[in-house]
Amino acid sequence: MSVLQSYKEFQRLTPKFWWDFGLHDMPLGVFRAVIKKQFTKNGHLTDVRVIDRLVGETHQHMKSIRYAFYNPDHVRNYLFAENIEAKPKDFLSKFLNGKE
Amino acid sequence: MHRVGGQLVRGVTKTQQKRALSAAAPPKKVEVFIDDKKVLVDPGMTILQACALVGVDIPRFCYHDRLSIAGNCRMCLVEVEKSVKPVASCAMPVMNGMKVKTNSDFVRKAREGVMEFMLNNHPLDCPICDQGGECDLQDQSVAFGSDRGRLQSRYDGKRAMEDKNIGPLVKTVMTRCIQCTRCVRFANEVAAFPDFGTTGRGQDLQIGTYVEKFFASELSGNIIDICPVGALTSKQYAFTARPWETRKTESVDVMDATGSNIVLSHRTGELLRVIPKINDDINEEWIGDQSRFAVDGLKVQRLLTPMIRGSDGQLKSASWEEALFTVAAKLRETAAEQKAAVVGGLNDVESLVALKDLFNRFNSENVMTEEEFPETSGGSDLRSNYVFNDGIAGVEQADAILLVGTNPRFEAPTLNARIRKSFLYTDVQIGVIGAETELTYEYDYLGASAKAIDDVLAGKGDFAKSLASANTPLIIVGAQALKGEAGAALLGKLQQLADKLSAGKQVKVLNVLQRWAGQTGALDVGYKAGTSSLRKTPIKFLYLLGADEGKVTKANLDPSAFVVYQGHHGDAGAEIADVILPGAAYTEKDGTYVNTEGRSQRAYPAISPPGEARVDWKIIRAVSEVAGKSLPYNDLKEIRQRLNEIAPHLLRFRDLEPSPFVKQALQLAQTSGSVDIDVSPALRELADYYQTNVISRNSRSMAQAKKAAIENKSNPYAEEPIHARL
Amino acid sequence: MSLKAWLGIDKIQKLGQIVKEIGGVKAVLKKRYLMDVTRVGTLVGSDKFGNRYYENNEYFVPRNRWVEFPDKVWLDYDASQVPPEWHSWLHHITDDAPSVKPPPTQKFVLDHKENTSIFADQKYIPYSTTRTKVQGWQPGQKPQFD
Repeated sequence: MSVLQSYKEFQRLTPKFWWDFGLHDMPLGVFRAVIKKQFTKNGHLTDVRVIDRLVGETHQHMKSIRYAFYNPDHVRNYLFAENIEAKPKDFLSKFLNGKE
Repeated sequence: MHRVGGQLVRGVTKTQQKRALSAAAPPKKVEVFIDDKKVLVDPGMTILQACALVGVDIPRFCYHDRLSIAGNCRMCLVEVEKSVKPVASCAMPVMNGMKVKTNSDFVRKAREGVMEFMLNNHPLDCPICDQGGECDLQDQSVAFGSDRGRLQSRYDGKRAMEDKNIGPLVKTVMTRCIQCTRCVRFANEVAAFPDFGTTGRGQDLQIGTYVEKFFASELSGNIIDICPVGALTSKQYAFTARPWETRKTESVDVMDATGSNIVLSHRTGELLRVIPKINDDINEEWIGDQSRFAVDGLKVQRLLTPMIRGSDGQLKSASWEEALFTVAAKLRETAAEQKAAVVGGLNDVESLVALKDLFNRFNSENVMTEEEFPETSGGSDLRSNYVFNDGIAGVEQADAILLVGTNPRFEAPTLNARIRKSFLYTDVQIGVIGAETELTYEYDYLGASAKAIDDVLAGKGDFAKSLASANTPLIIVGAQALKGEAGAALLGKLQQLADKLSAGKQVKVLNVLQRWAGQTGALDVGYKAGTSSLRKTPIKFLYLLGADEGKVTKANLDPSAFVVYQGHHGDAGAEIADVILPGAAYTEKDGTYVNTEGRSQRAYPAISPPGEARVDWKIIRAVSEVAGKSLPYNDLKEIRQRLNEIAPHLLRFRDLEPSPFVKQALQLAQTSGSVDIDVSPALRELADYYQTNVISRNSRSMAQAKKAAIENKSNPYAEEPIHARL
Repeated sequence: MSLKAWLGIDKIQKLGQIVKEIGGVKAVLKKRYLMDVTRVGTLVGSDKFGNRYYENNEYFVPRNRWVEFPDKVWLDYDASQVPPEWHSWLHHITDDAPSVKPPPTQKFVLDHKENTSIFADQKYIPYSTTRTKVQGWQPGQKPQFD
């Protein structure tokens, strides 16, 4: 239940988050979906201790956002990490890409 | 030239200890008290060496453990109990019950006094001196000197001396000289250049060649390391960097086959200089001039991008994808018998293994080295045929040395330094079959033709007698003499001689001195020696891996041949190529190099390959992948595992493993056939030494040195060659 | 003060004079549009770009010398279009105009060009003139040691 509570609190904070950190090149709805994804990413967990800890982390994130501890670029990196072009993994791509 | 007979006191090196151990009965140890610590030492030692055993470092300027003792700097003064005067610890041998104090007030006052005197005439050059940061005078004045001097420089002044010109490699600022005479002793003893000495005495003592002469020695760069102050510095490295801002990377030198250990100093991805690293088994503390100064050739004439020869016949830059695709396509098209690979002498074993694996995947065994080696006596299958069997350190134990078809002075300067060391301190007899060149020791000249070996076998002549009666005879044959049919006969004859000489002795006698750093590794891994098999069948696809000596030309190939060159410099090989793949030089890759003794050593990369160049074995691996038959290794660990599969000694770095099957090699030897060939070595004089491989041919310093050596021949003040003086 | 001056009529007379000298209301409006002022003065000289230089000492010292740019440049006039010899006169650095006393020159002096750094295709972008640390090989090149 605390999960749902923390989710709702976070979503209430989302417009402030979205605006203050300069993420308004995407619509607010899209951003809300991104935040939701962060929650559903851990949806498969069952261990109560892990869940409680993650809820605690969520509260910490909310505090940091309120106090503007984070930098906008770092927030972007973290939330959209999978969109960055992946480094080459196999030998030939690494070879053609550059030294190592 | 005279020998310094008998037991000269030198640093306790590994070979010394070995020799001591092999002596009849170890001498009774002597009891010495150093700072109230008791230590038992051998009686021939000096106080300084005894202190070093305990861990007490006594400051010194003129003492060097590989040179004779001078005792003129007086910095090593220590207090010995019963003596009124302080004692020069570098010269005084220990005596039983001696009590030595190295840190008393008396000693400290002595050191401060000596330091004050030394600094009195020393110019205030620290900001502009290259030795700043690695200067013995700076370090010792901070540690042992007083905080102030009493020189009234306004009234008394300091002495100054003129700079001497000793060539384009070593920069001299003689005002900074503290007259420790290390360079003079080095020139006299190790480099055999007695023209470098002292003139005058006292305050007016000048060190130099008196009349302007080129320091005509292949080991001249070592006086830069030896000089404790900035009087002798490297002209190439002048004013470039301070030692604390450089990073040092250990590596192995490839200019000759001895595999001397070097330290590459680099900063911000630029290689600044090369200094030797101590390895008592190979190069002691010295490296030749080529190894030290030819690195500036790595900055010019580099292959930076892949190139493809277009339809107009001109080479143009291309991308890696295009180049790899072209090469792979041609590789797949040509038949196995029409493919060949020729490798040069500067390659690391990883790239050699990768190339051989690539060719084997395409059913071809046609991989060969540029340098030739006979196929008889088991050819390159039996390792003892092509390796320096007794080890470079074994030269010190030798009683008689026969040099056949080699000039070790210019082919392996550090090996030559060891032969000279043996010559000075023991009764070794040296005979030479080849050219009557100016060597750094006296030798018996037996002739230019290898027929002289028959005389030696028969026992005719003084040298033959001393060779037969020696306890540890050594035959050093140059790889260059072992060429073709006559070379095979020569090898057979020498193996016969070696067999006769080594009966009942510990040494293997026959040693082959290779000329190229990559040759032993290539033969170890399974390359054929010599390009003669290339000319038998028409070759349509030729892969050159650093082959720049021009042994294969377009005329030897099929008219429609496709030539791929992979290397780091644009030289003969790149000119005939249809595709150029830029590789890395020895300072830019993790390489394994096997020296002429068969000792495998690992080189670390100091800088990355410039431009679009890549590490050599990775290029070959990429070619294999594009051609469809990927080689099974993707990173350094995996290819080293492959090296282990082929020859485990390649991964046992720094170990010398003896090679067996000498008797079997003799059985397979070709003993018939005439050996009446001229075995004169290719490198006869100093001017020939400086530009032997592709890196030194492109080096400005080496070109200047060669010019200076040639001009030096017409110097009216040059002394007669050593061999002519008797 | 005269009556005209007291009533301010002499200013209007002055304006009439200026309009007559410039040559009509249309010309006055054009000049106003291009230069933002309506003034006349003695023509001191002109240069090879077509700029005309006027002086009128009735105005106070900083504003008594001015340049009128040719119609060719229209509104794209720029201070850097004034060549150096006229620039020194215009900014009261010298007394004599180049038409009266031509300035000394040298044969190495380049022709004057206006400041082109605002045009992307003509602006100067600095480039390295030093050698690279590692020099590549051109096919056919031999090592040169000079």
